[in-house]
Amino acid sequence: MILMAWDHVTLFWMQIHAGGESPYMYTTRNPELTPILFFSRFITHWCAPTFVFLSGVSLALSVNNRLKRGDTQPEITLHIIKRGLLLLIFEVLIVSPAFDFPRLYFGVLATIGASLIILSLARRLPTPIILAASLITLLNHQYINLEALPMDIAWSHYLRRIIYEPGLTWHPYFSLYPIIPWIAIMGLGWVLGTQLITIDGTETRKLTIPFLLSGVSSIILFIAVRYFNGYGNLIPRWSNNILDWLYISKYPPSTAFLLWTLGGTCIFMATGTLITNRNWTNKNILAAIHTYGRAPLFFYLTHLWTYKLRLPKVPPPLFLNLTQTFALYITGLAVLWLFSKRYLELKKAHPRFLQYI
Amino acid sequence: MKENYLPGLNTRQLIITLLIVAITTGSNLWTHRNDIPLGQARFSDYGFSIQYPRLYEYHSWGRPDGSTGPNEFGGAVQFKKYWEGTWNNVMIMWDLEPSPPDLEAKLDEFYVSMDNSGCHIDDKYELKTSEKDGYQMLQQTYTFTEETFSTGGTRFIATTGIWCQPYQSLHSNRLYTFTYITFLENTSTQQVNETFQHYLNKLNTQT
Repeated sequence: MILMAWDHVTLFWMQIHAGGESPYMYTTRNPELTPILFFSRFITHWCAPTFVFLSGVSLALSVNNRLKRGDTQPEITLHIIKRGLLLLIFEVLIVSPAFDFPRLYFGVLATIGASLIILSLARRLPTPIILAASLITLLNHQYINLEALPMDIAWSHYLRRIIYEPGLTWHPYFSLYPIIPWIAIMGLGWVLGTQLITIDGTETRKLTIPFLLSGVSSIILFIAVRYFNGYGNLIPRWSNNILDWLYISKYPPSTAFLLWTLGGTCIFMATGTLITNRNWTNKNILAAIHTYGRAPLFFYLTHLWTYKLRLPKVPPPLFLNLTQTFALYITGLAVLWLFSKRYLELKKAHPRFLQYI
Repeated sequence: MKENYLPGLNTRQLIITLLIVAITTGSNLWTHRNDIPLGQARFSDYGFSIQYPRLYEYHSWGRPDGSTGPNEFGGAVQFKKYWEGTWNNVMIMWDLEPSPPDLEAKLDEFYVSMDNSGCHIDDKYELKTSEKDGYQMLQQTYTFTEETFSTGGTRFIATTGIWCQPYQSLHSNRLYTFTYITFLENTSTQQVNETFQHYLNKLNTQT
């Protein structure tokens, strides 16, 4: 979330913002981007896949807790659908105007919302089927062909944008996070969640090696996919320049993108288990980061407007350089920490009222 | 062990699942082995083919001497895209040659034709010799100013490769002039050479 905030503050305040890595948008790297700007965008690639993956994990943990306390399956399904709908509403009312996009924009919250609604029912399928469907989708989505849906009819165009083909070409039918393959990332998270509930909190050290191995093998596969420059690359590697190696399609996420980002997520999680085992989560900085992590949706919704600092459709009064943007970013994080802390206190006082946020 | 209310996954199920995933992905890879990658398009005509980003605009025109075309005898095609300050332009020109010509002289002719069309060459970098599909190719990177471009006086950097190879269907030789052009600002010679090579690798003249 902290990395994601950096991506958005640069979008709101810098003249050149890297982005749009897509076979439907920027198939080549912008040569005006300096390596530092390129990498400052590249590191934020971890955010969305981790966000969606952990939504799947947290869904499994939450469903298990609800079943344990005696909630019925229909009650749980309804709860998940309500949460999914709420995310769709937040996308329309809060997120789209922050990005100066039309209300119909299908962004990351919308794809999580839609995926939650689908998983509210699909979660009842056996775990091996969810795992197989997720992996097959993640490894094969580049073969999806939606040409049966014409692009010159509004509803059909929008459907294609929402299902698989992101794009910002026909106002207001904008989409950057189509349901496929993002739902499959959530499905993988769900599968991991079903395994995590069998492990006691004191046994998290058992997870370090599996997470690390998964992460390292994903990164090795990423290198292989980029080297062969065929399957799994929605944007081909143009040269042996390191920046071209790392210029990978995010919209939609190519297999290369997913191997890199989910591999990184696994390595982060391995590190996380070490931190938990050594009880470092109470140390100052980690405790502060933990505060953001305990209110992810609240942070997401508030950080956009905290950093935007202006009304929708209003251009920035000035552009900031990298140092100024970084100063704004750090200041914003401090403000958001206070907001998140206050929100968590409120949520503790009114758990029922704020249960969906 | 904590209480688990959700369906689990044992080792046997995991292995079978991974096997199904591997078979499905492998079949897809095999079935689609000759597909053009998503977002790319293939141009195939006049005796050659090239893969290029689908969003690029395509233009073609006839031989520089004003005779008809484009056709197998000669012509040019261009794939270009201007987007938010970036400019990518790939141009392929071809012409018949009764016998393999002096490539350096042909490259000079190309520069003269550029100058005549309002593109003033500012700097030329080292002339290199390399190969395209086994045929000797002369390659040079240069900068030029385009006076007629809409903004006026815009500076570009380009790499041009020129080579001659037999053209079986007309029992003759074909001279190819392959050029990649982009804005000079913030572009290094290394970048322009790499992109030139990338597009050149996508050109198939053996069709």
